[in-house]
Amino acid sequence: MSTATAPQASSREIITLYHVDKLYPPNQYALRDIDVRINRGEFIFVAGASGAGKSTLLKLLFAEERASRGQVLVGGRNLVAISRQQKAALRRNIGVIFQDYKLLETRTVLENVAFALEVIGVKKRERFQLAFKMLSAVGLKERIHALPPTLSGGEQQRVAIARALINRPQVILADEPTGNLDPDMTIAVFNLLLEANRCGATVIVASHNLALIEEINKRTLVLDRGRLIGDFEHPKG
Amino acid sequence: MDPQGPNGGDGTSHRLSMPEPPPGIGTGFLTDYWQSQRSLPVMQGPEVLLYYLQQGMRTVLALPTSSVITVLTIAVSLFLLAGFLLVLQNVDRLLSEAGNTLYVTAYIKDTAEPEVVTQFVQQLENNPRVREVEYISKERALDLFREDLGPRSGFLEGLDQSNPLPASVDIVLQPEELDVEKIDGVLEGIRAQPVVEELVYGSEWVDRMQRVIKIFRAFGMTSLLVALGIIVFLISNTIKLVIYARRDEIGIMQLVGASATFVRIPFVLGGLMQGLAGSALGLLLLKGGFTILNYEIRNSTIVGVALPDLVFLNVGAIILLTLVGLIVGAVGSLFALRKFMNV
Ligand SMILES: Nc1ncnc2c1ncn2[C@@H]1O[C@H](COP(=O)(O)OP(=O)(O)OP(=O)(O)O)[C@@H](O)[C@H]1O
Ligand SMILES: [Mg+2]
Repeated sequence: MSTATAPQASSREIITLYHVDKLYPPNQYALRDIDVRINRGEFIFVAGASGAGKSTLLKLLFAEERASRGQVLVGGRNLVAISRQQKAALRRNIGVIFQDYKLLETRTVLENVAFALEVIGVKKRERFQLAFKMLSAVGLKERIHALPPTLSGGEQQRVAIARALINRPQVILADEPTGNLDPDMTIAVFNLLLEANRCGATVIVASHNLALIEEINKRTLVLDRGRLIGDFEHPKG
Repeated sequence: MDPQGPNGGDGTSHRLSMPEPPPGIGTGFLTDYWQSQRSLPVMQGPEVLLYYLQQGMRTVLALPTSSVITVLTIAVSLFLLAGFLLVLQNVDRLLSEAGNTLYVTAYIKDTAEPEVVTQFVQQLENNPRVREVEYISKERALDLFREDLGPRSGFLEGLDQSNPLPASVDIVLQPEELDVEKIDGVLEGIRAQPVVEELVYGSEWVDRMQRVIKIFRAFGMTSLLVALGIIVFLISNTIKLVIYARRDEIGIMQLVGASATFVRIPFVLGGLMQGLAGSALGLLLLKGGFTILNYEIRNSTIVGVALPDLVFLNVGAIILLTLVGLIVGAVGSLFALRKFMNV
């Protein structure tokens, strides 16, 4: 485990958690005293049982939740004291694959994926072209005009993945991104995440699929009931 | 899985790092796109405006039933508010007409020189506060008296030589000048004329009508404000419900990086559109109802007496009421959003 002494980001470091607690009112500690440093371009797993705090850790990184104690730095920005405007700007540089997908139900699959470009003002033609290509890459080009509620869980998950990647974000946060996918599709999705990582994106994947974590064999943070109990460079050794 | 298990360290098990993707997936597009570093063309100026207008339309059309309910709420509210204003305005007009017409009779001294009387009448005619002036000579006064008495006027025979009736000037004062204080000034001016023997008028009636009008206006303003408050409450609650139904969507937009402005503008524009549609509909309904009512009144044979024409709201009031609809729609949306803007 890294021994962070002060929340001071180096140029290589993109994410720093410094003695972070997360307390859900009234008394539910989801995270306790988390100290982690993550460099640009890393591919990291966050492992742990259900309820260990994986999703909470990711939520702190894109400011959906605020740390109760300690400091959270992402891209040199301190998320403990962040304005609403800065929050929006931060999120445009982070692609999030939510555990519950969070798709816009009244918009088609194509519009959902294009939406990540829409919020930065990209022209319609361009954003739809890219969304179409991105959806093709996740095997959904047949379903672009469907509405999310009519898709299977796995299909919705892939829409969420396409939306997270389309903006070429510096950081990709994936919360159980293959939880609903069959083995073949799981491979395809991880290949996309690895591809984005090779292109320079920092990727953090929360998962309790240990087999998968071993197969990919990247740095793994292990959470247990809110505490960081392990930080392995290569889980398989 | 056990790390030392049958797949551990075995090169053949690395199917995740050396996969065969399902057909059609992972075309290598991602790397090309990412590494091209190509900056994407963004919307500018009028495109942005058009975009927001489209999104505003979209917020209205996305939930058609809710939008219809919102528009109808605004329409009914404005119909009631405008109808109320219409009634108030017409009652006010009738009251003012009745209360603002003061008939004054100035009796002229028998000794007055005819030229001085003529001069007096001319002076009155030039006075802007006087609407009508009629000189009634002694002879005409007697004729009028005879007409009034009809067949029983016989005892007036012979009075032609020693006519006891005075000449007079009948004056009708301008309605808008009928402020009690101002009237007194005008009347004093007339009374001070040397040719005037006596001044007769019903100032109590004017006083009373002025008081009634004042009370009526105070009542009208108060109840109009109360009605406005109720309507703002009604409309903003309807909008609140609709936006509440969309709170997830609003949250997701922010999680994906939409700025507060980006989320708000379409809803505010949608609110404006619904406000405009609602006010227009409400006012059109009122105009329709009003036209029918006025037609019926004008052709009414049952009433027998000629009723005064009703007057519709003037352009200023119509614009004002439309603005009420627009503003309540837009500001209501903005307020309803507030709760969901901190995701
Ligand atoms: N909004 C919340 N309010 C209160 N408690 C919460 C909230 N969100 C999470 N928790 C609690 O915090 C703890 C950690 O939750 P978290 O969602 O981070 O777990 P997780 O590791 O992602 O689990 P899973 O693998 O099931 O997704 C859990 O005990 C959970 O009950
Ligand atoms: Mg979770």
